[in-house]
Amino acid sequence: MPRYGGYCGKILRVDLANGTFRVQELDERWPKDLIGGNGLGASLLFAETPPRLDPLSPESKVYLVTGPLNGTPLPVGSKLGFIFKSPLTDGFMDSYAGGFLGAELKFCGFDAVVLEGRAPHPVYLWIDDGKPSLLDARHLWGKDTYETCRQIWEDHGDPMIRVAAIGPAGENLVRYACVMAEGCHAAGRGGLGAVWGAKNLKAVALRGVSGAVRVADPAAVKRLADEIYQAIRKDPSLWDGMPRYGTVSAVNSNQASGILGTRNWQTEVFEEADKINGEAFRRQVWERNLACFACPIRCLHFGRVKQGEYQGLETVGPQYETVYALGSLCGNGDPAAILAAGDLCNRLGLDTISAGVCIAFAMECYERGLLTESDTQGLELRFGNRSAIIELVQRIAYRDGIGGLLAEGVKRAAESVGRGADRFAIHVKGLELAGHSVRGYKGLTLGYATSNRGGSHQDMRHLPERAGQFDRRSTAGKAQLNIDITATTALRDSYIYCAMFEGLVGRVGVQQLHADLINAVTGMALSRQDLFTVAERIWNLERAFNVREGKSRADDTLPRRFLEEPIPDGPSQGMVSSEEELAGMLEEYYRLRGWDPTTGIPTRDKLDALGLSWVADALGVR
Amino acid sequence: MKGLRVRCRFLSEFRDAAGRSEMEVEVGAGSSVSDLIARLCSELPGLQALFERVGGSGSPSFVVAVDGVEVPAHRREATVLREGSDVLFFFPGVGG
Repeated sequence: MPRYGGYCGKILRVDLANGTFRVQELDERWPKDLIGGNGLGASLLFAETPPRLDPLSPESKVYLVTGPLNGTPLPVGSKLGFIFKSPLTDGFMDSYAGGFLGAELKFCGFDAVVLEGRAPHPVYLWIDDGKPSLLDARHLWGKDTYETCRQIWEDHGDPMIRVAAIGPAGENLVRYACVMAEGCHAAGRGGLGAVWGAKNLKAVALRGVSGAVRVADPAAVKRLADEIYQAIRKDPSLWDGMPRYGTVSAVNSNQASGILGTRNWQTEVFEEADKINGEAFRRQVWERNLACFACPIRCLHFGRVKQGEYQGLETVGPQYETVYALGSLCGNGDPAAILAAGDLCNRLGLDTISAGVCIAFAMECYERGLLTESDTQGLELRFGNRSAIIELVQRIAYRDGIGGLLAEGVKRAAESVGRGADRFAIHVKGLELAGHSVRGYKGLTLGYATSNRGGSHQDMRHLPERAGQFDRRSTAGKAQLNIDITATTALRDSYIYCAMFEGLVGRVGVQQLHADLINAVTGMALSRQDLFTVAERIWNLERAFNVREGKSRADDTLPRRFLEEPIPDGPSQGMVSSEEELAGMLEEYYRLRGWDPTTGIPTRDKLDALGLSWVADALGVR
Repeated sequence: MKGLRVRCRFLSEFRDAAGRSEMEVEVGAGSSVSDLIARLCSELPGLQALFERVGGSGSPSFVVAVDGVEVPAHRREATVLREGSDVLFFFPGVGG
């Protein structure tokens, strides 16, 4: 039996090339040093993969990781983490899908699964109550993610099987192809779908019936679960707001503050924002709410388009990021068209954020004459052309014509187009940016630039600035704020709990509830300072991975649009993320992190202090 | 002393609780954002639960923007309104 509660004590290693399996005991040091999830995955990825590995090669590895909270009665512990080297950024990537996978894997008896090698033909991994097998997926290859899920249910006669699958985008190695769980929960960012596609892995299917997650202090866990449930129940923005408007409520608030990414971030006010806000989707499309494992928040929406061009379309979603990326960013004020494009991304297995940013890039290039109708095979790529958006999603997934260019991601696409197109490529370290303003939040200015994933809003979070706890227009204290927030996001992704729960636990600095949760579940006696050290360890592991891939201070930068062009209008008019401002924040940030101020590389002293001497040795830092 | 009129606007949950998307409110000269919030709680009791919601670190978690500029929680008592101020209330959202 594992020493600590919350863990199964076993990792399943899957050799896709030979079709063999090996069960590894969970190292007893890992819970205290790394917790699980993000921490465990980052450590294994660094230790087990060589530098400069082609992410699409058979030697690449993918880590499916749970945390100790998954599968317990604690609400909002639904997610499964996927840790891998990204074919989009060539750097560290972690992506988390909601639904039921995290709990189900624990019920199957595993803390993690490691996928290695390349299968000789399409397969899917089936874990039947702890017994793994690789089943032929040739009849699934070519199917979309919904069809794949349904076929697996039919093949096994069990609709309770939890299925994570790639669609045609992953099969075609689109660099931002994603993995979809039950067709609606995305492990969206960074190209996980392409890594699976390169491995001939169509899906992972889980069914755990016999397993149960033991917790160290059941009475304390029950008490915490009740307190959390009551806190959610009393929070109007979670209990009422999320079911009603979902994360799409951010459209209203971002528009009101003039920080809603519009037409490839040429501006940050969208004249049609009120057509694509939460109220519009609620009025026109949404019919009921759905929830993830053990979660009372019910932030998901099942919807049906009742009239017009997309009449009859049924889907789950959208979330705010999809409304931003396929809506305002592309000048699209049609909620049904956003829904249709988002649904297509889900089916084909494409990250909606990256897809939307690539499409918006293409639109701006087209409007500026850098792309012509000859390049686009006749598609008129003007902002607002909603049928072009939907057509492009299809072409990207199948690498058809202009879709083949955009399938490479916006950074590579801009390099191919040349002639200054890089100015319109909205990415950091190759990852297309999410829907939270770089220029509009000074904290996020630094956060995006230093995120280990790249253009991700899930490392540094914008919400404390958004909520007015910190002045978004000021750079003062933002380096420390970054460190305090990324400490909580590293723990969030290691425990694993959902981002919807962040506000209740606390987003800025490690809180007592962080300690109470982990200690009640596991029986460890970790202090807040211990947990901060764990978070620092995880962050430095990720950074070290990227350093080993050749990334440094030079990559801690932002798109030129945000460095040079002030927001032109609206309530945030004039805000810009100047190079000087960014440089100043970076200097303070590196100093506070204990990194070399010139290179942004963690120092030996820093790594030694975190128990990462082996990482320092690997990097050759002094 | 002559009062002043401000325009209050409500988004999403605030609009649902207020039963309207905007209203004009007369407050005393020199009134602060905090004074306005107290006034709104008495006129529209449905808003009180929203104003009383606290974030994980114990600070109020709704957003008040006066003439497009967010007023951090610790400055709401000191931020004085002027004639014609536009005051917007909303939650910042979660997740992403």
